[in-house]
Amino acid sequence: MVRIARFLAIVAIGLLAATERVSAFEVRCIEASRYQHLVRLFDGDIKKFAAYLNWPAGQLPRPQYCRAALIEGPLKDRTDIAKVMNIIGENHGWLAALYLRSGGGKVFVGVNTGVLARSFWLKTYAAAQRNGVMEYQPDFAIPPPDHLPASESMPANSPTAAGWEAYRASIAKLPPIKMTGGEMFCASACTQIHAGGIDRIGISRVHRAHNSSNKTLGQMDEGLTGTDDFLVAYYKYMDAGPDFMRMYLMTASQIVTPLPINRHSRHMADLFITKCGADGDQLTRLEKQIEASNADFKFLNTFYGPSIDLDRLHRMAGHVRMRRIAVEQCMAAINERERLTAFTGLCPKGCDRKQLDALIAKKLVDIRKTSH
Amino acid sequence: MRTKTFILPLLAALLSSAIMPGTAAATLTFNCVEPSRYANILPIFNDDPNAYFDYFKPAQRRLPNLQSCRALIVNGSIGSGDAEALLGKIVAGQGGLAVLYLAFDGSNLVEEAKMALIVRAFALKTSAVRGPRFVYSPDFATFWREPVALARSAGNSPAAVAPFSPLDGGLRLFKTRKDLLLPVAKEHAFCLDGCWAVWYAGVDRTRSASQAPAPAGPAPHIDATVARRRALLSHFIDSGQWAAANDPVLKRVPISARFWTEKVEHSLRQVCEAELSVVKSLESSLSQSFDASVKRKLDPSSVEELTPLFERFNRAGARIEKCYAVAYERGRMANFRRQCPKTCDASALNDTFSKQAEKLLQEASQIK
Repeated sequence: MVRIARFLAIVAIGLLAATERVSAFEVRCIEASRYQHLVRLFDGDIKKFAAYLNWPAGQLPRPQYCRAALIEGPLKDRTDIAKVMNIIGENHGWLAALYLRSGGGKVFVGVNTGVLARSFWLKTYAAAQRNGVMEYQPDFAIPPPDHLPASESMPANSPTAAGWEAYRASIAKLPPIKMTGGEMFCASACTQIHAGGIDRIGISRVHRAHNSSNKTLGQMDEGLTGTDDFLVAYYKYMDAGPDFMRMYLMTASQIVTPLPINRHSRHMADLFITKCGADGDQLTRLEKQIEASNADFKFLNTFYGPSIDLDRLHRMAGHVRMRRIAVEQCMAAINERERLTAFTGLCPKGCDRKQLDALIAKKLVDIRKTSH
Repeated sequence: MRTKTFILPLLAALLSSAIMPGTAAATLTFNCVEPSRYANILPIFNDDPNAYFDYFKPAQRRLPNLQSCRALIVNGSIGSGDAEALLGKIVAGQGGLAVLYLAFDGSNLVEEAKMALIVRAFALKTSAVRGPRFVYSPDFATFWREPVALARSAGNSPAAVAPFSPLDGGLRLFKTRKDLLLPVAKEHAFCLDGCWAVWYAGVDRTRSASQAPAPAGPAPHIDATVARRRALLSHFIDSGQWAAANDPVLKRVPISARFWTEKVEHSLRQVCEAELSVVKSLESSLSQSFDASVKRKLDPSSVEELTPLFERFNRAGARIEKCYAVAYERGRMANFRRQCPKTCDASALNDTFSKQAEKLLQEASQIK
């Protein structure tokens, strides 16, 4: 019996180690996002970086500041929210993105952190992995196409292929953030943080609220309906999109539905289209469509029989990428101004946790009012 | 009793090897790729025979035997009698066998030549397996990715777009099968040596992505004469002409080959000319509209206008795929009927292919 118990314990420990589950809520800087590395994209010239993102004169980040932080592990209590506040404060407004890797937890931690992200104008990413390693992509630029279309040239100050090469070389020796199994996605209460982002990238996994506390069925039903009403109001406030809210309500609490969340709120999307002349999200989808057509026709050409020359599709992909580069720069610069202004407004002499708590609480009360 | 049952087959084996010196017993296995059994293929067509007939357009409205296999995996090390065994499988399949997945090694020019002749005569497709993890996917249709909605960001659900190919729903379901990953004997998980000669005879030849590690152990001894004759034979079976002794093409075949012979490509282009011209025209329209959109800096309205063009373009691609499937299917069935006009005389066919193989080897040996 003892032997069996010991064996099972070893197996359990082995399984825990193999999936690298994060047992506690953690917030840490993504090393590759430190400005000392990011500046490599601009040939090491911080002035070019400043010009690219239209930073206010005289405001520059310190090289060791982080532009992105990784949030991982279960959302448990108020100390989790404080950890996020801390990293925002430590980086003096230069933190721009939160990467999320959590299977969820307490709703109040999710919504508080979501409101915090929105207040500080932060972008949120559902962390994705490739070959078991978390992928970090700078949030303000995208790499140039492999083949630059003949009629196109890189927008001024944009990171060039050489800049991207230098950046990759700079981060190559950093320890990778391993993501094998376990909580390699943003699910449940984590989606509330994701929805709070000003720019939301990646797939969230949603389901209806559940409650494990011992109550009568009637009390439980009433309580959960109230939570649902509140969360629908929350997602509406964050403008996650009608599909997202519909799927939230349609998905039973025992399962999750993977769902892309609208990248921007409708009004932000409208603003970006007006200011930048194109729809960044739509261009991303166009590029995806071209890649899909390209891949399908390539497969047809390879395995079934000759069809078309793929040159024109390649050329189209190049044009879209070039346009995306310009539009993403435009949107990033708008976001940058807003974020820096928001930080100055919220943390004029450093971040006061009590004041921030009060601000979030007020926002949540306002949201709750709309749910009744 | 146990000793007796062990010793008797051993004696028989020793005796047979004494009677036929220098010939090894048949050593290839020809196993059905289970998901390719027609009973398993039919759900791709929503279990609807009419959908099957509409896709393949067979001369007669008759389904293949649902228990027969569309694909076989050929595994082991080639030896004498293997070509006859393959012929037996083809005959038993009554024309339903379409693809051979080749994961074998070894060298036996007579059997290789005979198998290659059989493969070409019955217009089979071949696929070279290059690793122990072999995932089956149907040879006649692929899943066309879902159209991407190009509506501008407005927070609304884009209108649902019908799938590009009528088989997309069925293929999506098929992909969820748990038996698509097939076990390949690790010691014979790569198409090597004589396998390439058989592969080269396929009317459509593909190869799986190479999986590391490549076979370990000492590199097999490659007899230059055997390799040269193999190349000569492969080239002849493919083109119907003997290559000159110093023809550089002999250095490329059979391993480095195009996916189709020129003859097959020409035939496909002819049969599917209408579909090809449509896809080219749509690609041209799409390209023009795209250029116009680029002039408008890819503004949201102009990008939205591309949605139907992409749909039409990809749908046309799926139609080409279908046309090719029909062409291959008809070609294979016609070849089967040519070899087996009313009934199949497997023994007579075997003799014919044996004689052809011997004759070819004889002729190949004359080319110095």
